[in-house]
Amino acid sequence: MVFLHILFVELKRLLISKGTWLVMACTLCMPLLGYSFYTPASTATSFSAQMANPILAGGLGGAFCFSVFTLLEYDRVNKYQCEALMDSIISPLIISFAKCLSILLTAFLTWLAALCLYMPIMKAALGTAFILSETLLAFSLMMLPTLWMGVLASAAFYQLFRRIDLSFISFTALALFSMSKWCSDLYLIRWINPLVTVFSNDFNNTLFYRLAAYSRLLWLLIFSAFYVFSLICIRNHGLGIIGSFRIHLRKVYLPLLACLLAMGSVWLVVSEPYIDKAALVQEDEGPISSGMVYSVPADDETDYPNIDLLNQYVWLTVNAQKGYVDGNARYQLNNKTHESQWVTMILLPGYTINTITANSKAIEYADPGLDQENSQHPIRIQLPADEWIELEVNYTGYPKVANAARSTLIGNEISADYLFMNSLSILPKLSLNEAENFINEGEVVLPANLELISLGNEAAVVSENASTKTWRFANTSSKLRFIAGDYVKLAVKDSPFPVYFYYSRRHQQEFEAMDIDKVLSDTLNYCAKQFGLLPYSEDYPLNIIMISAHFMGGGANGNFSFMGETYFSKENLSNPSKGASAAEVIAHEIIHQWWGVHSYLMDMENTDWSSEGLTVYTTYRMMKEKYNEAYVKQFYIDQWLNSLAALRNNYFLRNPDMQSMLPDKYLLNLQQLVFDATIYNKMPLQILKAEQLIGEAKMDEVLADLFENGGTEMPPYVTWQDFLDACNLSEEELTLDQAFIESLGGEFNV
Amino acid sequence: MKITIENLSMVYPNGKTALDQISCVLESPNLIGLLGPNGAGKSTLMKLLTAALVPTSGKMLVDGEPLLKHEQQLKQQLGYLPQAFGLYDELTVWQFLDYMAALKRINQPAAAIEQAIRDTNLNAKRKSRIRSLSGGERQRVGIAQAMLADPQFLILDEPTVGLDPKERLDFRNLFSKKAQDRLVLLSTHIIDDVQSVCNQLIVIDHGKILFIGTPAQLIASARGHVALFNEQPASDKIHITARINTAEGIQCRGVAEKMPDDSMLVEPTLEDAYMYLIQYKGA
Repeated sequence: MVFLHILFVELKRLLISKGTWLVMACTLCMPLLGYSFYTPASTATSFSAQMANPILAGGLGGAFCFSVFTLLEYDRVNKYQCEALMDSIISPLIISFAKCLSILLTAFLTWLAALCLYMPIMKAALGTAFILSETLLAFSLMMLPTLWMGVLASAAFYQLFRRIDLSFISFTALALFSMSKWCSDLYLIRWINPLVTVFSNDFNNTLFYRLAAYSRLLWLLIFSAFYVFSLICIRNHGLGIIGSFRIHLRKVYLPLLACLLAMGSVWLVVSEPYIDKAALVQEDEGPISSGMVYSVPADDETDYPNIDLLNQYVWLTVNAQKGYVDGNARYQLNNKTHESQWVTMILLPGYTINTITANSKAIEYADPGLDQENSQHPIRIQLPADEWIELEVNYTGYPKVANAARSTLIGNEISADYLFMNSLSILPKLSLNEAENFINEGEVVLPANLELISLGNEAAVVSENASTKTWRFANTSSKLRFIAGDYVKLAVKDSPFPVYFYYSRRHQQEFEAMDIDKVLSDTLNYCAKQFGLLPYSEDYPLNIIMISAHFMGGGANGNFSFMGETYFSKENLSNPSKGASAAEVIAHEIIHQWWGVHSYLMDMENTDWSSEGLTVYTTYRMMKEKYNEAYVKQFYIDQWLNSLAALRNNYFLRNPDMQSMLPDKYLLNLQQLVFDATIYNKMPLQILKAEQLIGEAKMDEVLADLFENGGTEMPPYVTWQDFLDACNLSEEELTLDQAFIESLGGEFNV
Repeated sequence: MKITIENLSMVYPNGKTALDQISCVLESPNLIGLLGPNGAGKSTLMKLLTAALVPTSGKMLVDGEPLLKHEQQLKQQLGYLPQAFGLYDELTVWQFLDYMAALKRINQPAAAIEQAIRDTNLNAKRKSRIRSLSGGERQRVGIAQAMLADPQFLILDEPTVGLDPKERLDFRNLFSKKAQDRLVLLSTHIIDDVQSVCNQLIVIDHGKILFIGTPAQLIASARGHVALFNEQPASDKIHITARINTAEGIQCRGVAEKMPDDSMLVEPTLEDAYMYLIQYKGA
């Protein structure tokens, strides 16, 4: 009660000070920086631009404001020479603690004010996409703890040094270290600027909240330990730091508390659950094949040719709230060696084995405890000599992000309303031959709100209750992938082959308004007619799935074609380089199923040649057929010409010597400008020139042939030379010369 | 309240001995004057009594309990006016006293503040910012905060510095009144302050206590050692304490261990007695 009273008094004193209000006002201005100057999260989504960045800027700037405020408040006793007076009334430890808590409370009030001030602004900017719970969570985890850490660190530094200048320098050094390149991909170390790559509009951002919560908890513990330690160093009884330290050590609870807090933070570091800490290993150091970090581990390399994997079945329960899975996997094996064998089983880092049995008997396994760089955790298990073996594995865990992906955090995601899981996160993998007629199936229990999309055959609900649904899935390859979320499932009507389009419910109104079904159907039919059918059937439909922006792009895997939500963002759907309207941009993205997913365009010498150029050209052709020549002249050809003209008129491109004077950020923008102009505008113009030289009908034949048969120069890729050869043209003929540009109505300026 | 000091020594880190094996008992009700030249150790003793310093050796007991172990209890009964102190300049007088009252955990702060403001004649300045106060007014705010809620032990280090003669008189009376049922320790250079109100004196010099007793006892100890001279005495063993211009010329007042036989002995004042003590009994 007594302490609460003192706390109240300190808080009251702070709140009647003009300085306090000034600091609060400055902190309230800090989020404004996140709209322009400080944009750590990719602005590809409106949640990043309108929510994440302002909140992160508010935290960072606010931490500095409160650091200065804390130092000034702590120095007041010295400045006003009140030390003798204050010390005669109350212990300096108590007053320091009360002061610290009152500043923390002031920080909380400031945060509350920021919340009240910026939430309506965010709501106005995000419109119907605004989600109150997301905003509250982001504010709570990204801003408030940063302010508190600024206060704790500054107070601790002041109590150690008793000098404002030294304390502020130390605080700034600590903050700069957190923002330095050494910490850029270490989320745990980044205390003042939590790692947020991009905020998703359409799905949740639990991944970042989990990481932020963990790292904030760690740093709050560290700074609290530091603060308590600094309390022990508070000068008292006219003694120096050592004398005061010795005296305060007699208050055993203080060093004990500091140690407990420090030990707690060490424990948090040691048991960090989210990132795999595997060190890089050489290829010959382990039995696991190397592979792309984000890809499903290679299936075709096995160590035991005489043991066949006949089928596998998994029962999986997903705890979506906590991000954990509990699994039971059964593998049917044919051991043709008739001898006991040690084989390798690969787990996802973060998963642990509870039991392993073979033919219902527990078997030995050895876990060397070494994760590998490609996010694999191999263990060795001893199979019995039996010819037919049923291997049963019970496992549990949280899927860790691969070490190599720690800066992007791309990987598996399990959260209350979004799931993105690859094979290893679903069940452990045995590096064995898959027998003919191999079946990979199972059941997964998910929260009732999640619609499961599984690689291979279409997943179906087999049972459900109020809170969960059990889904059955199957695939004929060992590869598995689950995507689940609050999706609208659209079966595209009048499609040349079965296509399902899964998109976030948050887009439903917008997509229905643009008649997305017709857009998809028209595009699919146009491309199928022009280039040929894609290899999908009733049993094996094409699933086009909108996924979280966290994945940063898209990809394809079996009958999955997943597209990051940024493809459907306002910015992308209004990108004139890709189409004249949102519907045309979506058509562009669907055309990539032919150019990009089912045929690969690349050239080692001409980097302008990519699937984008051909996709833009195809969109142009489709719209020319749908509308008329005038339409595509206005919205496509003129757009390409204008973009090239802008490139040619760019001052820094005309004066390359001046580029060295540009800051890195602007140089990158310039590079992006060149990249976009060449990929999306120059290349379509070159293909258009080729079309004019050989005729539309011949061009259609060329493209259909390239799609059907691929390239010959560097199969399976279709190279620029393959295209030139197919058109029977030379590179010089496709130069964008004056005559060509002017024939299109453009102005030619070199 | 009874404070017992036994063999208390304080040596600063720079090697300076501020107090050397002093012993005394301070007991309420009393108004004790602490006298001594600059650097005698008065402020050090006061800091030790407020636990602002830790003694090098010796004991300080508050009602029989070690002071440092019961620091918080002591502070709850203490009102302290340091010799040099600062105030939170941006606060008003009332706000500052309210803050201090809260830190002192005073139950009815408004009444206590009203009383302290009245006692220190700060009524007109209660809403003034401290930064706008004169030196004397700031001193009065310092005294007001020390007297908040009538602490049982009042330590006043040079409280009348900066006050005009009338204020000094008023405060002397106030201290005297406060000391009727509590312990007041008043450190000062101004002999008049202690002469008029203190019922006990402690004289310190060079870290040692030279005298503990009543002012009358101190005066009595100087009898026969104070004389008037019509001219400057030739002997360098006489310490001149005052020169007075009279119609007959300059008259000198001096103290000496042994006065010449023809000296005109006079009844010593407290100042004479103090000077005699410092001059001839000090280190």
